[in-house]
Amino acid sequence: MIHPDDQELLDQFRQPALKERAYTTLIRKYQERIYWHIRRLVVDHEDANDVMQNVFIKVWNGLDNFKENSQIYTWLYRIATNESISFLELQKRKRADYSLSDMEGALENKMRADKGFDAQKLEWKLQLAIQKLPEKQRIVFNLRYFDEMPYEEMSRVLETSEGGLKASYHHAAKKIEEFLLKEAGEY
Amino acid sequence: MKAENNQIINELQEVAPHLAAAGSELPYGVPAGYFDGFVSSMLLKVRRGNLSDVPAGYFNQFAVQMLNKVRNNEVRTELEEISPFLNSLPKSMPFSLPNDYFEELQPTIPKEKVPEPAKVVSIGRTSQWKQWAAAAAILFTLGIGWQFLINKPVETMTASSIDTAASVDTLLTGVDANSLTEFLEEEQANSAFASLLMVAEQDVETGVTQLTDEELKWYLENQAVAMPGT
Repeated sequence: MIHPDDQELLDQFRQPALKERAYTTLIRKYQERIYWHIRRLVVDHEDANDVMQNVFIKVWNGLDNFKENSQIYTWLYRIATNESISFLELQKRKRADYSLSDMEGALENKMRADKGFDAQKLEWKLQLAIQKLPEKQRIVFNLRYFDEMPYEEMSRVLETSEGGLKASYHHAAKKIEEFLLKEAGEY
Repeated sequence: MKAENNQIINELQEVAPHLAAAGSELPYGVPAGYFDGFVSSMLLKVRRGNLSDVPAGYFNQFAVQMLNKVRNNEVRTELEEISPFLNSLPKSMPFSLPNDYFEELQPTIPKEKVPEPAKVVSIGRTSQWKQWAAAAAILFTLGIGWQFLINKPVETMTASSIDTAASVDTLLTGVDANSLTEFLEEEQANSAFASLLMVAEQDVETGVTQLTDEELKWYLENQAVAMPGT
């Protein structure tokens, strides 16, 4: 069932006079969570900002038809995930002559271009390790590790079975640990 | 009191010597003057009758906070089993963000879509070449049809009819249309010749047999038609 606060927002959104106000409130409420989810996937701030715009335009166009049997934030995460994947796919197509590893390299380069990047800091090492993961595992790991999303909700976001998600998270965590320990020379 | 304290220390010495050695002093501090002001602040609350005051929105957020704690605990416990090392890492996001990005982020209200008027396609302008092509196709088809009509299949004719048709065709080759019309007007009574022309396409042999030899001879002589071989 939808959260009462969100239900109220939804009711307001469906009234033309209150639509814009409800939309603004909705964005203010979820923008940070959605932004960071996107940013972890596309890495660059400008890219994340572009995807954010696309996500909330889709929200504006689709919220009228939102079915109250799920949570708004689950729906937002689904849009944000799909938009991020579409964005990355587009980037890959633009680099048609690039291989998959080059694409991973491109994301890593974007990370290294961040003004706060410090290869010695553990937080950055963790982010670099996450970028080495396959796309699906990366998304699952981010949603579980950073957003602490329950598998039940995650299965609605990614339309995957809970068992499959648990396996993906397990593999991802093991790979990251292995990468970090290797980096530290303990492997 | 002191004897009781010693007893507790001795007991702890036996159970956990390290813990006993750590001492029992609390590391916590209290704000300066806390206890001095405590009584007066309590009295104030009692007089106002607002003992049950809670921060605004406390109960609205309580469920969410508890849920987050439970989730956090669940995620931590799970990761502890998979990778204790990873579980010990800080979760802070190192990515840089423009100053006040979220504060200054203005929601873009998409403009309502105004349905565009249906596009009017001019048939005459856009498909002129198609019209010409269609006209050419029709003419071509009619031409082919006409060829089929006038060139009757040879096998449907008998040998005699071929000869007769050929001779009549040959005879009529040099006759112009006007003189033929005049002749027909003069010979109105003789409808057989007119009917010959009318049915020429269908059955030449039948038409010719309906004319008398005198009629044909007269016409050909009067019109000075050169007979082949004469």
